[in-house]
Amino acid sequence: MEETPSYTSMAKDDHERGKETLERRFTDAYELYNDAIFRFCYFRVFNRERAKELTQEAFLKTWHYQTEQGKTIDNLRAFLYRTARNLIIDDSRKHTTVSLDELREQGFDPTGDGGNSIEQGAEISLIVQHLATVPEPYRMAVHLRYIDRLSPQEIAEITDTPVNTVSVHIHRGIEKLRTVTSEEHLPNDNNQL
Amino acid sequence: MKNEPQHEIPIEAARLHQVSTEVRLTTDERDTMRKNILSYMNQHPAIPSTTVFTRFKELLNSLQPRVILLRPVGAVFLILVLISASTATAAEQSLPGDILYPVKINVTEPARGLLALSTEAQAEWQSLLLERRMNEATELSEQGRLDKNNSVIVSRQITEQVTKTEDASKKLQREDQQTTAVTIQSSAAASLAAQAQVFARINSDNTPDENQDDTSRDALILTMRKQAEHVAAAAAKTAAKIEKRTDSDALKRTATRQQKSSEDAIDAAKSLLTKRQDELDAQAVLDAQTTLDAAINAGLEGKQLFATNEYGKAYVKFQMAESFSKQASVLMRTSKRLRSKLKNTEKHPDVTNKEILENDKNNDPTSESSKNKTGSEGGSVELQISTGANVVSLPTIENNSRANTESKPSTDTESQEPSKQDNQSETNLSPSSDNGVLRSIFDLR
Repeated sequence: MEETPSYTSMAKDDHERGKETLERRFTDAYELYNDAIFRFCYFRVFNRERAKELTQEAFLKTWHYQTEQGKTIDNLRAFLYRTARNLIIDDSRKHTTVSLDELREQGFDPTGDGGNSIEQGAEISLIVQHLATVPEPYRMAVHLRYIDRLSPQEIAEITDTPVNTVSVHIHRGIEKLRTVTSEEHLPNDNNQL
Repeated sequence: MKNEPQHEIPIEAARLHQVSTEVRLTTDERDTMRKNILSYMNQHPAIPSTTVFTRFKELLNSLQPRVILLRPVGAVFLILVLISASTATAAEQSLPGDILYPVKINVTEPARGLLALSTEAQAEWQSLLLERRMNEATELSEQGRLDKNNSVIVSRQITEQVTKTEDASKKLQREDQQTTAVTIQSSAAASLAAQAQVFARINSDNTPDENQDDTSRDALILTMRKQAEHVAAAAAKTAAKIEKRTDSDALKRTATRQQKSSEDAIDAAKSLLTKRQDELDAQAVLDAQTTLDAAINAGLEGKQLFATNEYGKAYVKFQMAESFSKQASVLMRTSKRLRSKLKNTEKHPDVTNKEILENDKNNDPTSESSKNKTGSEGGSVELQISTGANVVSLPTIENNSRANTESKPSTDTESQEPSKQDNQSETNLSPSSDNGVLRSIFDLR
């Protein structure tokens, strides 16, 4: 006769299974979104080391939320973005804002030791410079839409704004980016001409 | 905006997308961060099943019978609750002689009595308990379990309960609630007398050999009659106090309310008689009808007294009418339940129930033509109830099994001397003697 498992062992199994599921889900999320969260942080603070700290902090806060406070997170990706955004807001209050000119003097190093060519590094630095001139919330909308390839609905969920507002932000952000880019390229074009 | 080239947005987007492939953590940075995060996760392990939904699922799992037995504390608690509830329910249905009867008397009923907070509610609860005791006697008799032991238990319980009811009535009187007190007292007396009347009929209809419970029932009948007289005497004293009241306005309002109450009770008893006439034997119908007529006559007397502004006396008459109505109802209900014990269940050869009722309609006390009607049909003899102004003729059936002929019941408080009949009732167990007891409830003063 097959022995039926006791409630205690069943509960223990369920507990272990649930624990494993949570851990696996979270580590998977780390592998999938670590770069995205890092970029999200970097394009807010424009400091690689600070962006790394904020990224790690966002993951740790998220894990803390669902373990210590016993909450369940349905959309882990959106939650990570929201946590990162809140951390960036808190960080900006603690640290003085760095001007674009200061950033230009410090030099952009968004790629780290990625082994990019000099041309590639220069191109990326230029894009980052252009993006840095776009004010919030348009910068965030453009970033999430065209760098992280999120849908307007996903952006709306992360930023707690209506989808229509997100679309407006994206459009205006692109307009501003285009203006900056054309201004930057215009002297070069004239020179070529 | 329309003049601007549309392809510039994709170009900007494409350039931005280039960032996603280039701006990222290095392998070392990613590994270090992973290591830090996993370390934090180990220090703060996961707690699964934390949503309301998952907790509800856990609760459902815990309610599975197989599982409950494996959870000692919950199982013991649940079993205790179930045992207590089932014991209380079973005890409520128990009868004298049952194992759970002491639980009913000493636990469940006192617990329910705690809900009666006011003096009036407590008195009504005691009155209800007295009725329960009498119902138990009826049920025991119905089941053929009214042996000597059970009879002793029932007698003792009834005596104790009458004492408690009487104490509650006295408490009401101390709080100047004489009208409520007399209602409870007269109701108790009416129920006791009616019950004794039916039990006496059983004894007179059966020879001792045919019914082994006869001797036991005799003792019970004596107890019921004695207690009925006791409560009736107390009711009479309370009624006398009400009659002496001088606050005519308040008394008038009280009498008016009591008149309405008595009329409702009479209507209810009439309705019950019409409904149950086919289920009752002829004698039971006749007994009920006689008592009901006494109620009607008492009501008529009350109206006359009310018209002459004697509100106290009128109130007592209306109270009497209500009590007689209750007595008739108890008679009918008990007779129906104990019908199998009553030998005289067949209809009288000459007078059917319907004929009795038809005769009664002709003898409506309010009808002038009925006042002087003296005709008797078949085996019926005429019974007169003196109501002071009116003399009402009532048909009855001569019952050979009765030791005594029906005494002329009177509701006239001025001329009646009921104490003589009461004294007889202790030694006379014939059913007719109960009429004397009942009709003298308010005339003992």
